[in-house]
Amino acid sequence: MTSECTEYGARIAGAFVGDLTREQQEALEHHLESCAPCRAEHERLAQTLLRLQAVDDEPVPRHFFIDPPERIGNPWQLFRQMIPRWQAATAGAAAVFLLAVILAAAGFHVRADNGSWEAGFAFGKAVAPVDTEALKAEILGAFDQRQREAATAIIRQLRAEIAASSSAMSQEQKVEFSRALDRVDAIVSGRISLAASDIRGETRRSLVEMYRTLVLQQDQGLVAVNARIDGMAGRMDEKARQTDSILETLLDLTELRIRQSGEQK
Amino acid sequence: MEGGRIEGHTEKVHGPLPGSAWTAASALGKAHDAVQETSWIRSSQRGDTLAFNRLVLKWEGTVYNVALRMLRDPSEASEASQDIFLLAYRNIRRFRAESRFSTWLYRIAINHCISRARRRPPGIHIPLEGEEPNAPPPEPLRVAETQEVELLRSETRRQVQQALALLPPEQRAVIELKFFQELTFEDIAEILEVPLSTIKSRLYSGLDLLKSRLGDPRTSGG
Repeated sequence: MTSECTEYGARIAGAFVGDLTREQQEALEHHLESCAPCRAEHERLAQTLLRLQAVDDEPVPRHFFIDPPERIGNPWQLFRQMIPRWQAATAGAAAVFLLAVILAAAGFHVRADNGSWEAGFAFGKAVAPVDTEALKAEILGAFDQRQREAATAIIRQLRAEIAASSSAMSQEQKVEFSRALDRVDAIVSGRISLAASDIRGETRRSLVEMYRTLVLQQDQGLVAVNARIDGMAGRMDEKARQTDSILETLLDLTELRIRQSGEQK
Repeated sequence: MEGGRIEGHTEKVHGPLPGSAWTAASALGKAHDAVQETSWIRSSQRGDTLAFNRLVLKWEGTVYNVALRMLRDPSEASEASQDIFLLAYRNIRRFRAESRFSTWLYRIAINHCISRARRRPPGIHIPLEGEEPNAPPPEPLRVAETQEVELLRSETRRQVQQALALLPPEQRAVIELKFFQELTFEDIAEILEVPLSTIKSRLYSGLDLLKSRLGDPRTSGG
């Protein structure tokens, strides 16, 4: 065995698997003609490959068919079995849906105003406050109207009383009655002013409280506000009934004084 | 010498057709098979189990024999074949037409068999042909074969299986793909996903080991 044998020995296996160039193949064949040990090595490998071919394919013992799969309940398994194109489409749709949910939660809005577009987030911002000044003016206007109607009704009733009793009264009684009326008028006016002042004060307090409620309970909307307005209106009705009761008492008192004055004379 | 077959041992008898006509008919048949296989693959990717089972029917012999030579145990090879087709079915939607279906299927089969061979506990006894206590009786000899020839063939098969069993799974896979499946080095490198040089190195190392066991008929006795 020469030094060439080492080189050609490594090429013998290549010759059997088509891994040599034509020149290498020819050089190997030339070497094998003159080198008995390499020729023996070549023969051994040929025998080995011949024996490998003795192992024929076996017939399959059974078929390996696949049964139709059970319906997949796991979305992740379903996603994994999709082809990549469908996976990408599904992932994109899920991302868009998730983004929409996030934007909705953050109060994202787009508004067209005077030909310009405006986009923004309402996340963390307070709900637009109610116009409390207008509400206050409306409530006070309604209160004044109610007061004026009450006062007009009292005067009308007094004048009717005067008309009914004037025919039976003397001149002095009429003068005395007129003075009493003036006092009653003063007392009633004072009472009405006092009651109005109380109601105005309470209205202001209620408005302040209502404003605080609006700020603190923005998400509850106007339900609480309406409830408070109804409550306030109820209290105003109660005040009006108290005022009427006071006026009736005063009228009774005036009538009693007039009778006493007439009896003394 | 193509595909690892030794000249003089791979010639096939093609029947009465002349050579050129046979070549044309063979090419036409292969093209038809390829179109049919592509159709079955596409249907399988849409969930058509029947189409996939047609692929199974076409490839089950190849897959089973790869598994049998890699694992040596018929029952394990049968089990592995079923697993391989199940794996292929589950992943058929991932198959790209960039490579051949056979390459893709070989990759699944070889990887699964190597994985199974590695999981085997060391020293486990794998029954060889004729060693099983409940093995079915051998097939009756054909008329043209003498009993001596059949015995010799059976003994050779046993020796080859023993020699193959001595190879590491990676070398056994290269030997299987090169000499039994007759694939090119490039195809084998694509299937096993290793460089061409590694494939050749594994092949030549494996052949050296096999040669030491099988090269001399007078000394090789298993």
